[in-house]
Formats: sequence, structure tokens, C-alpha cells
Amino acid sequence: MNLYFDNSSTSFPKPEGVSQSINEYFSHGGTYGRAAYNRVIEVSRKVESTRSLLANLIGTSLAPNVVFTSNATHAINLFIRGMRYPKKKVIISPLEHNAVCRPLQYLFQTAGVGVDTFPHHPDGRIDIQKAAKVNFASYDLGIINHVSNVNGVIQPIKEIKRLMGNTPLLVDASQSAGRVEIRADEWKLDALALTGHKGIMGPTGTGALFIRNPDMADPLIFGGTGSNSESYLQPIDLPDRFEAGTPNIVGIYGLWGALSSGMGYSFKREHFVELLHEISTFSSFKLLAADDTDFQSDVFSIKPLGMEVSELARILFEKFSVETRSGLHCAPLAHRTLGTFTTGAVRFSLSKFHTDNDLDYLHSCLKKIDEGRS
Amino acid sequence: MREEANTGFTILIFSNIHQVMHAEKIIADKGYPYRIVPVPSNLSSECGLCIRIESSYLDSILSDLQNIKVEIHTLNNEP
Ligand SMILES: Cc1ncc(COP(=O)(O)O)c(C=O)c1O
Repeated sequence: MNLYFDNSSTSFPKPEGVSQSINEYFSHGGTYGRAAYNRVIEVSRKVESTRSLLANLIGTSLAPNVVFTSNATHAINLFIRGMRYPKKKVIISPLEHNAVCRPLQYLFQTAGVGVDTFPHHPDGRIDIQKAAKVNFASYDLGIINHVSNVNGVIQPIKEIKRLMGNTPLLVDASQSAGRVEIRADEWKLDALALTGHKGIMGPTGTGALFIRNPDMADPLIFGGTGSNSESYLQPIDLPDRFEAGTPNIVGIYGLWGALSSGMGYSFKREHFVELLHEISTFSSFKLLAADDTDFQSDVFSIKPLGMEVSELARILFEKFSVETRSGLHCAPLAHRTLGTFTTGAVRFSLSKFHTDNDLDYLHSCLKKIDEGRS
Repeated sequence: MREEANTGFTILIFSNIHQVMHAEKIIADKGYPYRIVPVPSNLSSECGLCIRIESSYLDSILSDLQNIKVEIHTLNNEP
């Protein structure tokens, strides 16, 4: 039985190919570029093959525009801090993570860049009809968390970008990459940040930024790339412009293993939707989920009524061995939007490894807790 | 694998490793003979890698590489 329900923090278990690929790297070693012996050629091929797999996953034909970072936080900072803000105004979704809110707060303090929020429904999903009336031309940038790490709401990115026109959009795909469909080219996304260790199920320390027009942002980190070494200037070509220093080759090998695993879901979508429905009927919990299941990813939270959230997480673990994350999930803005600030909630985040039986077990645990209290 | 025509070698230098690997894949998939070699130091102070091809295949390889930015150097001797 798989009782690990904290995959939005980091995924576990990983597909077998992850450790196999990492072991393969440790057996032959070598760096990325910079020389031309076989070890290096092998590593360079693998790194570039991983880049292509990522490009494929997010639906872009622009593989060199996918630059490796150490996680989504790094990718988001690279873009937000590298951009220029002549209009001094940014618009964000109401379900943003601190990976976005904190760099924006820094920009506000240091450069006076203000932040507005997209009009939205009670569950935090952006209201397309109301958004159609927003004057997007007055903003330097829009930022949207594709899948909420609190209630699992999937934002209608394609429709929003269509409304935004030429105003750039950065999508935080930390929770969505590997879980829900992303079509960066078709949706005309300007930038997208992802992390390798959550929905993609790769190792920690891996991530990427997709940036359509590299001139939109200055690099965050400058240094050696193994290219143009005679110059003190950072190369302008992608991906080197944003990839100074030796990359996380071990992690990228693991990421390759995850991306090539081709794993599908082991539980049925209808079963998951049914579980959410059942939980919504329990009188001792308030369910935090999408109001419309079409916009629901496999993450949700519950707020116990008349009990501390940490107490519920403790009971789940000590009595039932169910691992969850309680509190604010680094997303105080999302909890404010959902009315659960400052206590937060208990979050359940699934993975492709969960089966219908695991969901049934979770259901039975919550039912027992509910019955014991009502 | 195509015939070795032995008409001397040409070095293809790219702007970075991503481009070398991208070009290598195209060249290898089409079956042209090639080798990845260090960039000759008389061509660049660069420490990286480049692709050495047979000069007789240069035109067809360039057309297969389409819009990849490449610097071309013909070698007199095998490096
Ligand atoms: C929505 C969202 N954005 C960003 C992040 C940051 O991801 P990482 O810690 O891998 O940089 C997370 C992870 O907690 C997240 O859920």
C-alpha cells in the first residue's frame, strides 16, 4: 500500500529509471561540453536529450529555450528578477506560491512594482468573463500558478493568455508539469517554470525555465559555459545565456530516467472524483478543491472543523500511517483566497503510483476520523 | 553509413554544446561519417567540442542543418 500523500512537496516513489540512470552516470562520469573525449560526449548527449524531453513535455519546439535550473524557485527568480518593469505593474493569480510572492515583494520594496490579482471564482480559478474586461496592456507581466498546490485548481491558461494578448505571461508549472497537459507553443506562453521532483517524479535539485524570447530577461547568474571563452561577456545564445557553471549532471540523468519512464496513472480518474465527493459529505471537514471537477488536479486539502490542522495530520500519520502536509504550504496568498489563513489545512497530493485501493484506504481513514467526531 | 570519399576534412564549429549535439543528431541520423573532436586551437581558444566531417559532404550536411548557426573551416591535414 502506498500511504505517501505528500507528492506536492516532493514525489515518492520515483520510477525505477531514475536511480538506474543516476547509477549509469556514476559508472562513467564526465562533464557537460568543455572537452571532446567520450565521457563528455556521452554526458552532453544525455543532457541535450533530457532538454528535448522537457521541451516535448511542455509542448514547445524550442528546445534551446528550455534552460536547466536547480528548481522552480530558481526558474521563477531568473525570470522575475531578470525582467524590466517600465509600467511598474504585475498581475497574478490568487493562488500563487511564495516562490512568486516573495520575489514580487522584493521588487515592490526595491523598485516600487505593484501587484494586482486576476478576478476569480471562490475556489481561486480565474474568472474568464471578468478577466476579459481587464486592461492587460497596463501590466508588464502576468503570473499564473497553473495548478494550485493547495486545492489543485487547474487554471485555464490558454484562455487567459488569449485575453492577455502581447502582455507576457509566466506560468508556474511546478505542480502541473507531469500531471496535466501543457502546450507552451499552442498557448503562446512567454515563460514557464517547472521543477523536476514533483509531478515529473525526478530528483530534487532539477528544474527548468522555458523562455520564448531570451531578450526579455537578463541572466541571474554569470560565468563559464564552455563556449565563447575568449570573451568576458556572457554568451547571448541559448541555452548558455542562462546556464553558467557546471550543470547538475547527476540530477539531469535522474530527470532523463523520469521523463523516459512513460508512466501512466495507476488509479482511475473517476475513482478520485468519487473520493472527493465522499469527503465533501463528511461533516467534520471542509474540503478545499475545485468547484468544477473539470478543473481539478490530483491535489486537494481539507480543513478539519473544531480541530487543529496539525492534530489531524498527526492522527493520520500515527493511527493510519498516512503522510500528509499540514499548514500553509508556502502559499499564504492561496490560503487567504480560500479563507484558511492563518491556520492552513491538511493537504493530500497523489502520484501516478497510487492505486484505487490506496484511495479507498484514505477514504476509510477519513471516514473513521469523521465518525469518531460526529 | 555513407562511403568515405576521402576529400579532406572540414570542421564545423557551433555556438554551444546544445547546438553541437543537435547537429550531431541530424548528421548521425542521416548516416554521414563524422567525428566529434576538440576545437583545434588554431581556430579558436575555445576548449569545447566540434564536429569533423568529410569535405565532400559539406554541402549536403549544411542543407540538412538548415538554420543552425555554424562556422566552417577546411583542414589541410588531419588534426
Ligand atoms: C505552486 C508552486 N510553485 C513553486 C514551488 C517551488 O518548487 P521548488 O521548491 O521545487 O522550487 C512549489 C513547491 O512547493 C509550488 O507548489
